[in-house]
This record gives sequence, C-alpha cells and structure tokens, in this order.
Amino acid sequence: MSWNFSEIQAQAKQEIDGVSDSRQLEAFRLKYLGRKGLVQEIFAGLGTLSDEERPIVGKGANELRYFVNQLLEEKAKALQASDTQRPKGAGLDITLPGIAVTPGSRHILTQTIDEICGLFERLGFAVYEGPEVETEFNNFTALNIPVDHPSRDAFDTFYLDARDPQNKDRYLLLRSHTSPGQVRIMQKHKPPLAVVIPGKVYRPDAVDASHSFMFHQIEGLLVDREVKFSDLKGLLTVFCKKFFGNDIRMRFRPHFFPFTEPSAEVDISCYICGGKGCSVCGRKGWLEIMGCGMVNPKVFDAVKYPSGKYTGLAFGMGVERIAMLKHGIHDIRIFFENDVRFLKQF
Amino acid sequence: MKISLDWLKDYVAIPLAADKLAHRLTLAGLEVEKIETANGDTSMEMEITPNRPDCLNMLGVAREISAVLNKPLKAPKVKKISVPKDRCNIEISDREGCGRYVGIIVRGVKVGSSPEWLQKRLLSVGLRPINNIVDITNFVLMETGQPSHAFDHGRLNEGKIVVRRARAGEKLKTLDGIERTLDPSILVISDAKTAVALAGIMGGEGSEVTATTTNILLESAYFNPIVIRRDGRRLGISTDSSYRFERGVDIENVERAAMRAIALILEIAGGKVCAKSDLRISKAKPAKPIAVSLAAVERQLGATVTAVRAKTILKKLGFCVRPKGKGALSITPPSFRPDVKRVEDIVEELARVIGYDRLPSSLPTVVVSDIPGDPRRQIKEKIRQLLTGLGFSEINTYTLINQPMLDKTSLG
Repeated sequence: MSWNFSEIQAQAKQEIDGVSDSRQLEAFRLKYLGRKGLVQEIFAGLGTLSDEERPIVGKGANELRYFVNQLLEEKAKALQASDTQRPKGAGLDITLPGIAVTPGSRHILTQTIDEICGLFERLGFAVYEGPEVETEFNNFTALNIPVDHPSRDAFDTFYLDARDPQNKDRYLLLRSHTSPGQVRIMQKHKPPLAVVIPGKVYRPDAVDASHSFMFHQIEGLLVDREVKFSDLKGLLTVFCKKFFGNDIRMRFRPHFFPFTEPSAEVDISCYICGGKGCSVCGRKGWLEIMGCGMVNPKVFDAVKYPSGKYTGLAFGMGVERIAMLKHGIHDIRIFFENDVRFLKQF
Repeated sequence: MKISLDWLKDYVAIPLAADKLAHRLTLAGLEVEKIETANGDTSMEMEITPNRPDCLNMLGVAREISAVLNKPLKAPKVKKISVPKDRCNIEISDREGCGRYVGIIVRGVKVGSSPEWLQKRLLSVGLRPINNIVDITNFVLMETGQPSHAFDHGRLNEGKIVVRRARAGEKLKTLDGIERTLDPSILVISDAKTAVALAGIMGGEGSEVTATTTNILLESAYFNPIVIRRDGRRLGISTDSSYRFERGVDIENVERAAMRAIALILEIAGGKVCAKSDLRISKAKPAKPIAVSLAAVERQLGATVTAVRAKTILKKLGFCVRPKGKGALSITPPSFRPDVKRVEDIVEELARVIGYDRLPSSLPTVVVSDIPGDPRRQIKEKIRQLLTGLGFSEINTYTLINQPMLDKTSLG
C-alpha cells in the first residue's frame, strides 16, 4: 500500500484546526500517534514492503510523527492560552449564590410535645394517643369524678348530640383532659406500664389571652408493684431539670385531684425574676407547671385491676402554658392564628 | 376565701410573720394567693380545694395551722344554756333535701348595731355589718363554717317551719330584692302558707330580721349538697352559705354551731330561749376506723413515719388515733373529714403536714415497654419530616368550627 504523506499531513492539519478542547486533542493524538494509531499502522506494515519502498515509507512515517507532534504541541499551547482568557469554570459560574431552600418548621406546640414526649421516651415511656371524643365513664366516672360532685365544676364540658354506644343513657363528650387516656391504656394493658399521652383537650372557657376552648395536654402514667411518692418527686424533678435547665428550683405543693391521692402541683422558680416576684409569676416567684399525684386506688378499681396489687404515679401538664413560659409568648391565641411570622420563629 | 390573721390568733398561736405563715399553709395544701394589710390587721386570700370544705372557716384553718406548727387549738367555749323542753313547730317534708334541721326560738331580743369587736371581725374578712342578729349568724358562719339564718318569728305564718320543695309558680322575694318564680325542684323553707327562704341559699324579705323584730327563730341545718348546687345554678345565685352547703357542711356540728350563735345572741341582743327542735332524718353514722400499718405508709411514701409522729399530726388534725398491734394504728376521721376513708387519704394527711419538700426523692424503675408504637403516629411523623424539609410550616388550627363557616365548605 502506498501512503501519500503530504495528503495525510494536510488532513491532519485540517483536523487539528477543528480541535477545541483537550478531549478532542487527545482523540486526535490517539488517532495518529496512539497504539492503534496511523503511524503505528504504517510502521507495522513496513515489513511487507519492498527493499526500495521501505526506507521511503519509514522516513515518511517519521516525518509524519514529528509533524503531528508539532501540531499537538502548538494546539496544546493555544488551548491553554485561551483557557486563561476565559472565565474559570466556563459554563458554571461558581460565584453565583446557591439555590437556597427555605427550611420549613414544625409548629411550636408540636416541637414542645415532641421534646417532652421525647424526654420521657428516653426514660422508657411509651407514647400513647387516646381519642378526643370520649365517654363520660372514661372522662369522669372512672377517674373518681361522680356526676354531681362540685369538683366537676372545674371540668365544664362540651357534650355531643351522639350517645355513648355502650351506655345509651349518656352522651359522648369532647375530653376535658388527657386523663381518660390513663383509663384506656390500663384497660388494654397490665402493669408494669409507663406511658405519656399527648393530645388535644376541650373546655368551654371564654377565649382570652390565657384561655382557649381547645388546647393540648400531656398526661403521664407509671404503674407497677412498688411505685412510691418519692418516685413521683424524683421522676418529675429529672423531667423539669432536663426541660427547663439544671438551675431551676422546684417545689411540690399539696393539691387536690379526684383521681390521685396524695395529689400535688409542681412549681418551678420563675426564670424571669429568679423567684423575686414579677408580673409573669403573679408576684409569687413560682410558676405552676403541672399537676401530679399517686393514682387513686378507686381508678384501679374502675379499670378492674386487682385491689391493692399495684401503685402508680400520674402527672399532667398544659402544653401551651409550658410553651408560653419557656418562650415568652403572652397570648395563647397566637398559637392558633398560625401567622407565618410567628411560626417561623421556632 | 378571705381570712384575718388577728381573728385566727383567737384560736391558735401564730409566732410567724404573715408571709412565713402563708408559705407554710401553701405547702400544706391551703394555698395563699394574696396577703393584704389594712387597719393593723393582715388578711390572706386563700384558695381552698373542693375536698376540704372543713377549711372554709376560721376554725378549720386554725386547726391546720395547729397541725403544721404543732401548736394547741383553742376552740371557743360555748356557755351551757338552759333550754326549755318546748319544741318548735318544724316539719321536714323533703327528706332528700334536708338531713338535719335545728330550730331555736328566742323571745325578747333587741335588734341593733353589733358591738365593735364583732363589726371589726366581719369587716376584716370583707363582710358588711347589718344588725347584731344577722351579724352573729355571719360571724358563726365564718368561724365554724356552719351557715345559719334568723327569721323574724312573728312574721312566720303560725310560727311554723316546713322544709319542702316549692310549688309550681310559687313566688318568693329574696333578700337581694329579686322576686323569684320557683319550680318544684327548688328546696325552700316555708311557713304554714308560703315559701319564706331559698333553703341553704338566701332568706326572703318577708321574714327578715329588722329593727322592730322581737322574736326570732334561728335555723341551723344540713342541706343536701347536690340539691343546693342544682338550685343555685338554676337560679343563678351563689352565697357564702350556699357555697358551703354545696361542698358539704359537717352534719354533726349543726347543733353545736347553733348554740354558739344563740349564746352570742343572748349576750349581745338579750332575750330568752323558749323552744328548741333538733330534727334528724337519719341517725348519726359513726365513722369507720381505718387500719393503717406504718409499713404501708412507708411503702407508699418511700419514707418512714414513726407512730409518735403520725399520732401527733393526726390528733392535731382532729383524728382519733389508737394503737393497733405492733406497727399499726387505728385511725378514726372526724365528722368534718368525710374525704378521708382509706389508707391513701391518711398517707396524704401525713405527707402534707410533714411537708412534701421534706420527703425524700427517688428514681423509679421503668420496665421496658411492650406497648406497641402507634403506626399512625409514625406516619404523621414521616409526613411532618418530609413537608418541613420541603419548606412547609406546620400550622395548628381549631378543630371546631361554627355552622356558617362549615356551610361555606363542601362539607357543609
């Protein structure tokens, strides 16, 4: 085969002109100078040539190789020069600001509930949610709140038109506290049990800066063979310190709930005034944050636990109140207005 | 409820400043909301929980202080009064509504202003002096917690008292000047002809004690808390008397309180007792003693309470305490503590007087739970994570809407 070297060189010249980047340059090099390239092909075929042709073709191949290398060098230089003239990362301007994703947020009440339930879950409590529509039995009777007792004044209630399917004499209601969840969980499970029960509750209170007809509570219940009053103190102290900070002081005050005996309310030192007294704590220096007590055995009777076998502790707290104290929110209605300027602060 | 420190000191020594006393009472379960000083006396606004109607009076609070401070209680001495055997004309027709009715007739009283000490006592707790007879009933109400009411006996038809339900459409003009139309569910005190008072709530204008009254009939009674509560709600009235009846007065104290009032009336307004009746629907039920083992107390509290300590505390609170074998006590609650029936109730009494903050703390053992997680809760959690990650803000709205709003939606 005869090689027209001047034609090949002209062809190579034309091809190198079309190379505009390093990838194409490499492809060009491989075509002519690679292991499977043209020059190699020519050298490989020298053995088949005649004695007269061999030196001519050999010389032509060498000249071609030299010529292509020249072209490559020149082109490489030219590409580098033009690279420095163009802006860096052409096609991708890395000085442009990134596409920001605005983070969303959970509602502060959700965050508060998650934080509190999370604390108790890490102590071994399960999370249970009871229904918002409840029976009178679960909301009052089983909790030792008989229908005509004056303590029921504190629990004015929303009743429904619908009747209790299991007790056609009575109407269903919207639960006025999360305590009915205690009744339900105890009817479903035998001790030992430890649960927290978050959820919405309803009371027909006139709505103002500190009252809402709908709000949230978290109930807690721990039932076993030997639960003591000292356990109640210890557990809630751990919770308060973890949630409000190690520096707060606490006190337990005797109180009354029909479903606990002994009963108590828990106060923390007002972290606005440090206990000196201010408008937030009503000059008492203490903020009431939750109610608690040892489960009244009458509640165990109502859920048909064997008499005297178990003891338990229970506690309940208002989520809005706690969130308002922790974050300095002054009006409970703000939680439910859902103004984005409020929501995004948390 | 407003109480006066000076008045309390009539019944128990208080060697503490008002704010320290308030602190001790609050920690014992009687929360003091406000302390005010006026005219050299200190008054405290207290919040009494519904299970402690026995504390809705000076003696009750004084008793609590005596237990907390370990000081003796000085109950007022009632002079023995000679009472003739004559009975009043009293009939309890409604046995459900009235459990006990004491009526005492005093003739020849002189109605006038109360002595200064009595006026001072009433003013210190926010009550207005009216006349000596009415003031005495208010005084005894605040001192003992037992409401009483004085009728002008001369204005009671046939001098008779009947405790019954009202007749349909029966009318009564109460002391607040309001003419009320009653229905058969309302419990009334009536004379031979017509209703003269709303039982347990408010007296009527027609039989009230005035400057010209000379003969009075003093009523001291036990009315059914449920009935009084319903009546008060229905009529929209709440008085110092009805408040206490609703929560339960001490049926065993009805006569003693009446005699306390009578003694004061004789002393201040003069007159002579000429008849007395004490009608009870059912015989006094002696309180059941509660057997409490100190080991059980320790089990419940997580702290040891000695028999001596328990006895001291409970006796000061009015309980009767007897030893019952080794390490146990037989405790009989007083008639004014119907809320104490079981061991747990005794444990609470001991715990609150010792002081919750003085009791130890411990950490409970929480056994690993086999309560299954709620799959719906987990799904909600995933949705929240996803949506908040995409930039959504979670809202929390009212779950109740009114009819007009509902009508605007496709669900209405």
